[in-house]
Amino acid sequence: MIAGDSKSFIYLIAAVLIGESVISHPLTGNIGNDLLGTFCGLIFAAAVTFILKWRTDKIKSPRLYVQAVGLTAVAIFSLLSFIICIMRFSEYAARVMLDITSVVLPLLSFGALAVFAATKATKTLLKLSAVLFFLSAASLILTFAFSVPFIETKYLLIYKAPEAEGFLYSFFRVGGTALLVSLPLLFIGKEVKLSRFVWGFILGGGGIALCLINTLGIFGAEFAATLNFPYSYAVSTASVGKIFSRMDVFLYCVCFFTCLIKCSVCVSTAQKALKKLGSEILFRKN
Amino acid sequence: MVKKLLIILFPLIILCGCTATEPNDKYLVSLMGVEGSSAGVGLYYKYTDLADASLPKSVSGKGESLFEAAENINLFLDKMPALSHCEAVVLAEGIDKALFYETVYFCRKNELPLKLRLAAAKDIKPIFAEENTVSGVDVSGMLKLAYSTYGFGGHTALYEIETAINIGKDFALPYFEGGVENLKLGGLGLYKNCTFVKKIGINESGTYAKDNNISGEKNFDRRGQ
Repeated sequence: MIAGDSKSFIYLIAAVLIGESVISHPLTGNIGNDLLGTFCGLIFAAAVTFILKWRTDKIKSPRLYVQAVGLTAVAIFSLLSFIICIMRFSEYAARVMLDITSVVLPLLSFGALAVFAATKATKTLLKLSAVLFFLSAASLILTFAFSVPFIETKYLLIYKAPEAEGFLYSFFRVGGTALLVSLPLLFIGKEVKLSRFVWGFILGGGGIALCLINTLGIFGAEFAATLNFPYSYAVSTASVGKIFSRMDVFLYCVCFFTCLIKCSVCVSTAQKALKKLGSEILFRKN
Repeated sequence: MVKKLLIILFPLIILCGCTATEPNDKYLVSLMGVEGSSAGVGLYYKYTDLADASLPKSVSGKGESLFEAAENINLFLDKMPALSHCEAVVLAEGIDKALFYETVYFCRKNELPLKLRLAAAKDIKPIFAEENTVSGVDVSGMLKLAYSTYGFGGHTALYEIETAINIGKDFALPYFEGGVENLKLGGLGLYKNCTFVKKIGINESGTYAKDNNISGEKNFDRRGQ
């Protein structure tokens, strides 16, 4: 658990929320679904997280079985998030980043680094997340600024009503992924103020919004939905004069940093939850 | 501890490509051409060998499909062609709807840049003749010049044409004409249902582009500045 409250927790939440959404954001071909579904999903995840944070702050010592269920849920959610993140990252690395080189060795190095970072003190993880978040945020803002001349405003207008199926798909895919990481963060951030969670969600949601608007503004919802890695292609399409004809390196940095911190945090949270489950509940000495 | 982690982290980023092929081991394709006939499909590349900085060279392949033609080209060349920096694709006037769709699919499958330009020509052989040293960069430059001088040639990026096809919209592609010595842009080739209909001259092309709202071009306004 984090010793005390820390401002860096905001950057940890934001980086973990952005995670691998830059790689494969779900697009349905209808801008109403994509924009509204995403934002409503994020707001839903934020509301659930804040309510649970507010309630758990009031509970002094929950019953043992409640603790056991909670810790098991934290461990499962964290490991699930880790698996999803590393699978999406490996798919992206194999298809786009390293289309000729075998992806096995880089993936093993990535996994080893994530696990190594996860075994360090939470303070180290917080400092690392702050550094990597700022680098990622700078890359996201830079690529968005360079993409602005290529964005067509007409593509961002919601001219078609959202469809229930598509809206719910975006809602649960984005909201569900956000909840999978934010709920375990309630466990490691027990002493962290609610305002840190609020700011973390605002910054993380802002990062996701930048990627979404960038992609949909350049390609339009219908075309973007046909792409495997929409944001990746959007970044490749924008250019800055003759100097930067492609800005893929910024995207690779963002993917690598945010996926790394998400994987590290998930492994660290799962490890701590399982340790507490074992030492204080299952194998407790009376 | 954070510094140690960052010291491990950054070299990993640059070491991952150690076994990747160097640029000098590939031919950089800057221009691609497609033509169709009763005999099959013809695929043309204009490529540069970065190892000897020579002028662009041409190669062509034939097959039942574009993929077969590409395979034949790969077998002929001693280095693999890299299509990821292709600037433009020139389509012969006579290609049918099926071949047009196949061309778009071929570009997507081989990860050609979505921002590459499409253009049309009566006959693409003069463009890809061995003695013609025009490259994809030159073609792209001619398209930019047409846009800035006459106001046509915009909105012809691969992703824009594919969007137009998806929504059932007709489109117009810049039209090249002339021989090996005097290749030039002759106007716009109008397409209906992905099939060439007719060519209009340069003077009419600017008006056509304005009337059909395809003269505004963010890419050309900002690129190359």
